[in-house]
Amino acid sequence: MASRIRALLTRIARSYVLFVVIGVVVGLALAPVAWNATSSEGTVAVVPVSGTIDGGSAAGVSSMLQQARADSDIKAVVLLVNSGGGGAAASEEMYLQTKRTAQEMPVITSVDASAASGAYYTIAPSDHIYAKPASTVGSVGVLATTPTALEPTTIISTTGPNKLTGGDEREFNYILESLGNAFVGAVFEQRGDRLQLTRTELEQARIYSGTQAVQNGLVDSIGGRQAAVEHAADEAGLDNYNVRVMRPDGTARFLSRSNYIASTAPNKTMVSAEYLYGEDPSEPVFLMVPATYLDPSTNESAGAPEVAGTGTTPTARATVVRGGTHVAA
Amino acid sequence: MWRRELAKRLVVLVLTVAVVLAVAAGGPMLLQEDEERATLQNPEYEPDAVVPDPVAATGTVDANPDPSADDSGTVVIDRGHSNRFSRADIEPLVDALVREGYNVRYYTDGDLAGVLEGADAFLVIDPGTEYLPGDIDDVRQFTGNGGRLVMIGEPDRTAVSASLLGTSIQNQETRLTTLASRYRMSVDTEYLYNQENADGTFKHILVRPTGDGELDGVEQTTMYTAAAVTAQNGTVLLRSAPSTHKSGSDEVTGEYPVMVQRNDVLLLGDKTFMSGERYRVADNEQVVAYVAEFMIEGDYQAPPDEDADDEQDSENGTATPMPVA
Repeated sequence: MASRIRALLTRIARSYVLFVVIGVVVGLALAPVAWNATSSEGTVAVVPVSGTIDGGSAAGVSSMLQQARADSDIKAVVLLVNSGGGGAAASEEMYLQTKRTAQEMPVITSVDASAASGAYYTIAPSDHIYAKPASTVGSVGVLATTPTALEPTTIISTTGPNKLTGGDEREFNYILESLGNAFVGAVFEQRGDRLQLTRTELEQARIYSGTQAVQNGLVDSIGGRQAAVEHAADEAGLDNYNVRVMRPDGTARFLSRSNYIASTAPNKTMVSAEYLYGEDPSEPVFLMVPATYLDPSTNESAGAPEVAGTGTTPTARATVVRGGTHVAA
Repeated sequence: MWRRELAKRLVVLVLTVAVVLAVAAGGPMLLQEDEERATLQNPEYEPDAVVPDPVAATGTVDANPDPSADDSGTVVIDRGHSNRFSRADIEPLVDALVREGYNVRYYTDGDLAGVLEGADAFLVIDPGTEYLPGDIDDVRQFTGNGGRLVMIGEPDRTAVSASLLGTSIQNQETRLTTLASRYRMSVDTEYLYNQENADGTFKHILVRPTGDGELDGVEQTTMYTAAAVTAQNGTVLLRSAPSTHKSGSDEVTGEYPVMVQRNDVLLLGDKTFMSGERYRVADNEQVVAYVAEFMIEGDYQAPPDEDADDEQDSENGTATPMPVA
């Protein structure tokens, strides 16, 4: 019996058929790699920027952009933007990440419903910005609640007169102005050669439609996602390419109903302005969002938490900012 | 024999693993040397370009009224027309008046003519209700007898107030129309802003003297949410800096008058420049001193004939009236 088995193994070992079979199996296993290696010259990564920009969303986008830069197969990035901005520092982080990415590879942006304020800050370093006619862009500026005038008392002692508030209202406006100057300066640094607006006009912080934005240079042309992807591949010199849509973890939080509707994020929710300000805004919160996003009327239909409660709500403060009058002290 | 052979193979195996690990460890280091990461340059955040230079806030109010002015007297401040100002808003001015030997009284209600009798000046700040014809006649009679009138208006504002029932938003208007118009003066409803010449933020505008009047030592002052003012045949003492806009008409820029004088009447478009925390900014203290001097220096002469004055009136109702020599 043992001698029969040994004879069979010897016969198989001497047969070419077996090695051909093994070769076919191994070849088929490696075929996809070979196919991709010859059919694709690289990948265009699509990075969504959805919802209110806060520390979490900024970290998510930063991570995706870092991943894109580290992956040698990714040759270009498309930012798919649908956001009205958010926190000032988080928006600046996004700007720096986009700028760094744009230095290493083509970055093309496609605007969905809006890229306003901090979201426009994020996409300013893009090589080319596409928007739709119904997109809204702009609102280049910063807003914040003014700190309440306080003085140290017998209840709270401080080592300095400005420890409680950081400074008076006049000094606070200088702080706010420096944030605004940095924002406007960054937009001009990135798009100064294309802007038809003066610095003063940009500082007005208006919102523009997609077609208006093409006229004034905030946007380069009208187009959608496909145009942005094709443009990115073209800029990277890719004739054959893959598209990889990256997805951030977590839920996209929206202040604007129109942005919420336009969003393709798998997990999305509406939030009220309190998400940015907190329930009792006693400290200044620097925001890069259009004041219209903080209007309670835009959130009522979203089933968002109540915003018009007792006390001086930030939403009310932001509401009056929109008018032609100013807020009395 | 077979043990020796096995040992040889194990040695080869170990050496192979060592070579593989050495390549794996050294490879990235070699790659890093080849690909040095460039530092991100951010010239757009250069502090000198981003941080605005604050306007200096130093100085004291030092009123120097004409030697011929009385050493003592009374200034009446209107409190009878829902006037919106706090003690902090007027304290620097009151302090200057008191140091010159002047009393300060409030008019709250009742006979205005009686309160103004014997006073040198009447100060009206941001009234919330219009003057009735009787009060206007009293003020006209007062200025007609040499008393001086200072009116300070504000642009329309929106006030936010909180209560147990929630937040309410209320519009506030300076109700100076009936009184000021009797002196051929008016206060605009729009606020002025300037994105190029400002004290920190666009609504904190810079203001400069026109050269008329006695504001020679003033280089520039600041106003915090001011309204343009007009006075037919009046003298413009202060104008906003170039490139000032009116809210609601941002394409129109100009140098809007914010302080005008017409005979014994002075009209300003902002009350906050003289508040306790702002009067030192730029040369605001000198404007506060000027207002104090203006109130002290009543000459008690009969006012010019208004009818004759009316005949001289020319079309001059724009936001930038030319000063009268």
